[in-house]
Amino acid sequence: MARYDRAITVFSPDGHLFQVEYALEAVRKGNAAVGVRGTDVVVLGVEKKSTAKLQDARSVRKIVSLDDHIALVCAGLKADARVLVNRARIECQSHRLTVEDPVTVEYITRYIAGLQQKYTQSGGVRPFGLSTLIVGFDPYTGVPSLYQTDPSGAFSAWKANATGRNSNSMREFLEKNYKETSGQETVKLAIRALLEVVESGGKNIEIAVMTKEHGLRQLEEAEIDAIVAEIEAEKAAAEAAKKAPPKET
Amino acid sequence: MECVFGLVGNGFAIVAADTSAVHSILVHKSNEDKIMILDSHKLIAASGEPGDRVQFTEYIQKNVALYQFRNGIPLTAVAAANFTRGELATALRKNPYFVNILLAGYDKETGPSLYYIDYIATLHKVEKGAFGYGSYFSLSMMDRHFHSGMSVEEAIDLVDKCILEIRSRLVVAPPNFVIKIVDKDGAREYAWRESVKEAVAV
Repeated sequence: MARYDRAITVFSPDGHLFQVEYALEAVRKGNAAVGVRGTDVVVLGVEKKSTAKLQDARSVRKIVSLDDHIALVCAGLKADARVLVNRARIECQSHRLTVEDPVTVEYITRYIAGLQQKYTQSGGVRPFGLSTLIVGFDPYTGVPSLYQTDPSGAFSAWKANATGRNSNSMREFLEKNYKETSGQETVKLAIRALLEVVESGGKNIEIAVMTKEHGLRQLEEAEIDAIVAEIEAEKAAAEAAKKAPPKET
Repeated sequence: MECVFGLVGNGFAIVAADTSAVHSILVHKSNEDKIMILDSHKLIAASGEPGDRVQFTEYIQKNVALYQFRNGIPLTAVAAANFTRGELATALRKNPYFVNILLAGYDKETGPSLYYIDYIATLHKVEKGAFGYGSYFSLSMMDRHFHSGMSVEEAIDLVDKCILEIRSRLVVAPPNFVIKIVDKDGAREYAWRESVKEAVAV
């Protein structure tokens, strides 16, 4: 039998885990994804690379539910994502079975991050090449949360974050423009952040909104187009206001 | 002795189960709900070893939920019934579950259905079914009065006839029953039939 005991992820002389860093590179090549936490909603957005003409677009769902109250989007290797999401879904049900309680967002994030870390310290395996944005509501307190994990297995909570392609620009935008929002305003903020790096239009963006009452709802292309139009109009109005000479002295 | 029975009507399936939790000669409680809502459109009425009953039905419930998350669509009733039977069959010659199940479901495409699954992994799709000593009475009543495509009122009437028969003819008859129904609008509790109210702590 082949022996899978030799580690692939090992330290470099200057303290780097190159495999993990290369995995982060893979994430940087993945599609742009954004998550924004509002007071009563959490919004996930991801860019949809133009689908091939013959491909059935509906079979490529990038924003997935892990449980009734938890959703996830990831950037990076999609096949790795499938494996991780499957394990997380099993854990959500397993938790319900053993303790008769739904998972908290932090618990499932910790589980996913733990899994990602395990693969940086095991023989014969490589790290998962993806970062995830996990959103949900605490099943009892109803508090919304947004978490991010990365290939190293680190995780933390965020008010808003982005990952994948051009995540730095999106994060900068969010840092500049984030404020506590609710409902539609949160959705708009997420779309505006995505539009910074993605070609505008409903068919290039996938948006899902999670509320405490209704769980995860994927927005229709038409809805997204409508909001994008609103955003463009607001942008145009702002530009016009800047250019117009001040009326009052 | 535990009594569970059910039947299929016009666009719905109904199951009734007794609600006593018994250990030897002691009745622990008489409001134990033995009909689990498996998912939005499925019910599992289970009887048998109390620990196995809860453990097994919860295990099936969580796996049915997992299927839905993985695949984006819920399991059909026939698929859930076959999955349940498969789990019982796998455990049978190692660590068997002593649980008898009536699985009632409603699928949009095929309508209501009832599945008889006993503890040694027998699976039958049936129009009416029953488990336990009560089955001697409820099956006879259903054989006499059941016809295909009964309305909810007719079915409830038949269920009540069965309960009456069990109460009057079974020596250690359970006093209380719960009735649940599943139709196009989902699975839900229909009614309780109580002849002994659970004592409330003062």
